Formats: sequence, structure tokens, C-alpha cells
Amino acid sequence: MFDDLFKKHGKVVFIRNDQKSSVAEMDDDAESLAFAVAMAKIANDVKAADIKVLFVKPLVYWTRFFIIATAFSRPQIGAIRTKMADLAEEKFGKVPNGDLKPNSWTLLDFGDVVVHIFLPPQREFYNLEEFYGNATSIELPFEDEKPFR
Amino acid sequence: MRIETCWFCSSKVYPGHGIQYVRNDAKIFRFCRSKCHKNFKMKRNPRKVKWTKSYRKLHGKDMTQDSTFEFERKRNRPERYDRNVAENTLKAIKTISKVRASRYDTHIKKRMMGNKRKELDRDRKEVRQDIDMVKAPSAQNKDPSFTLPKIKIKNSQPLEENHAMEE
Amino acid sequence: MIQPQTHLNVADNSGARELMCIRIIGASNRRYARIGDVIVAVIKEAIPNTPLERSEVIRAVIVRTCKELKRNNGMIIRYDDNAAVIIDQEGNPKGTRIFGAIARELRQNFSKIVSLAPEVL
Repeated sequence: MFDDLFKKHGKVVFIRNDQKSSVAEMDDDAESLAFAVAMAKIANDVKAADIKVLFVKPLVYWTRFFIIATAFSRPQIGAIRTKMADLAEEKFGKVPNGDLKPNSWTLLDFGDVVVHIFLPPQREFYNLEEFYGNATSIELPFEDEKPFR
Repeated sequence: MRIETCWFCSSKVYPGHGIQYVRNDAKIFRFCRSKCHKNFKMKRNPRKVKWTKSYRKLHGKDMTQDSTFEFERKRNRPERYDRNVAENTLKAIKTISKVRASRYDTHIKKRMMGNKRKELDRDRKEVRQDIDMVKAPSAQNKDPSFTLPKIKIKNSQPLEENHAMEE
Repeated sequence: MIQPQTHLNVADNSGARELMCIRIIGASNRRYARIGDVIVAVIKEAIPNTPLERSEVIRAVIVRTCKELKRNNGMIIRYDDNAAVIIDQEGNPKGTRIFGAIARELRQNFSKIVSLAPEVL
């Protein structure tokens, strides 16, 4: 008997297809991916080693991408930090939140992208890659070019 | 903002109401008010406390299986705002709530079906057993009719009416 | 509400088991510390054969409190226990992993702790 009511008032909205929203989300993801890759490129330019970009959104809700990089001295960490902060503010209008001084583990929090710069011993000690082992790592476009330089 | 359900009484928890308790294994318990929180702290089982939804459902007091409940569901993805969808949803909410209310009424009616008969039986039994509260047993032996007071009233009423007519 | 003499659990794998707060860092006469505040603490109990020892003075960040935490959106959250994470002078955590749920408020100043935590609420 209630079928008549449903017919009268049009289809009852009962959304199962989440595709629409996921497309919009994909756009956001792509945006932050572009930002993450730009940040990783800076790290590469300043000769940080072992750069990894992890897509951690399925694992933690509070951010989308992790960038993990190793630097070999504190001045180098400082250089990476300031370069990243400058470029982020110039091009993307994002201001980092995190350490102001170069630290043995320097962290830059841009909201949807979090950058970790370690000294080699600290990187081994904290072992973030293992903790976020289930995250998919993203291939960086400039990684293959390295040997040619 | 999401409207959560209370862990104890399963009522709605609107933003800014109630309290959340996080156990060390990261399970979250949400409570709609301090009453529910206190009952939780007393380690009461909501299935055994009569005023909770889970008790009522468990004991067949409330409607449990209905297609109107299936419209409510938890989505962990925030939906993008879409005007058409929102309008349609608002329309649908009205019809769904109407349907649910009518179904609930029929449910209650069904549940209360045999009640009048039972109550009548209970009352009759009470009169039969406890008539000595109204009239002493010795008096009953002299005049063993339960309906004696009733007859008296019946007699008196027409008499009064007659008087009124005469005047 | 953590004040001097409060005993706290340790929510990381640094090797300490129990702390006692002896000072709250901030204003000069500060009474209570909440989630996200730094305290000075003494290690009351430690696991043997770890770098941290009993009666060592360290700094720690409070990550869970029994006293309710109020958010700007009206949410009120209460945890099971009082717990802290040990940090060094630079602000890096001493342990490598963190146990239990952690409040979102820590992200403002202690993103490192948040990125080591299994669950952020």
C-alpha cells in the first residue's frame, strides 16, 4: 500500500552510487598529489636521498600524502626546509606547520601533505616506511633520470 | 557534522550534546546525556534496562524489521553537496517518516490487540476474589448477591426522574 | 588535569612504564596541564635493560586524560587513563611507536607523535 505513496512523491533518494563524490575526491587527491610531487622534486634538487611518496589516505584520516626523505647534514635539512616552505607559499599558498629549526627529524605539515626529513640514523630508528607499510608508494617521475645526471 | 546514536539508549546525539568515552583499545562510546553515561559507568547492560531501545527491540515492544529503517545508513565518505539530491532527500524524508509513523501505529495496534479482553478478565477475577473488601462476608451470607449496590442505584435513578416529572 | 605528583602511564615503547609529573611547562605558577601540554616528569618505573632508568628526569607530552577534553565544536571526549609520551629536548619522541588512541589536538605542535600513532581521534 505504501508503494503508491512512493510513486506519488517521486523516487525515494537512496544513493548507492558513490561514484560521483569519489570523482570529486579524486580531483582533490590529484591536486595534493601534484603538490606532493613538487615537494619531492625540491628534495631531489637539494640532493636528499631515498625519497618516498606514500599515499596514506586509506590508512589515516588526517592527511593524504607522506613524503619521507633522508638528508645527510643539518644545513642540508635546513636548505630543504626553507626551499619547500618558500615554494609552497609562492605557488600553492600553503604555510607549513612544524619544526622551525633544522632538527634530526624535521617535519613539515602542509595539511594534506606531510614531509618528513630525517638524518640517516633517525630514519632507521623511527622506520616510518615499515609503520606505513600498507600505503601505496607513488613512483616519482624524476627517479629514472637520476643515473643520467 | 553527523548525528550519532547513543551507545546506551540508541537515541540520537546531536552535535554539542553528550560525551564521548574512548577506551584504550580506541573503541568510542557515545552517550546522549549524563544519564546514559552514568548507567554505563555503573556497568549496566542496556539490554536489561527497560527504558533503552535495545531492551524494547529485544522484547518485541518496538518495530524492528522495516524497510524504512534501511534508508538510514552510515557513510564514511562526506557527500558533495548537490542541490537536486538534497531537495529529493528532503521530499523523501517526509514521505518516509509518514510511512514509518503509520506502520508504527499498526504495529502498536497489533500488539495491543488482546489487551481489552485480558483487562476485563482481570477485573472480573478481582471482583470475584476480593468482594469481601467491599462487603463483609457475614453480610454476604445474608444477601449473597454481588450486584446488590448496582441494583440499588438502578432503582434510585428512575425514582428521582419520576419525582422530577411530577414536579 | 595533570598536576605535580600525578602518576601517568607511558604510551610509547621508550622503556619507561610510569611517570610522575613534577612540573608543568608554561606560565610560572601554572596549576594543571591538559592534552598537548609539556610536563617535566620523573620515571617511577622502567622496563629493565632500556636506555631510560628509574628516577630519571625527562620531558613528556600528555596524550590522554581522564578529565574531559572539550573541542570547539562542542564535542566532549574522555579517555580511560592519563598517559604521556616521552620527548627529548628537540621535541622528538624517545620511542618509535605509540600505543592507544590519541587526540587530534596534538597535531598543532606534535605532528611527529601523531604520525607515529596507530589511531587519531
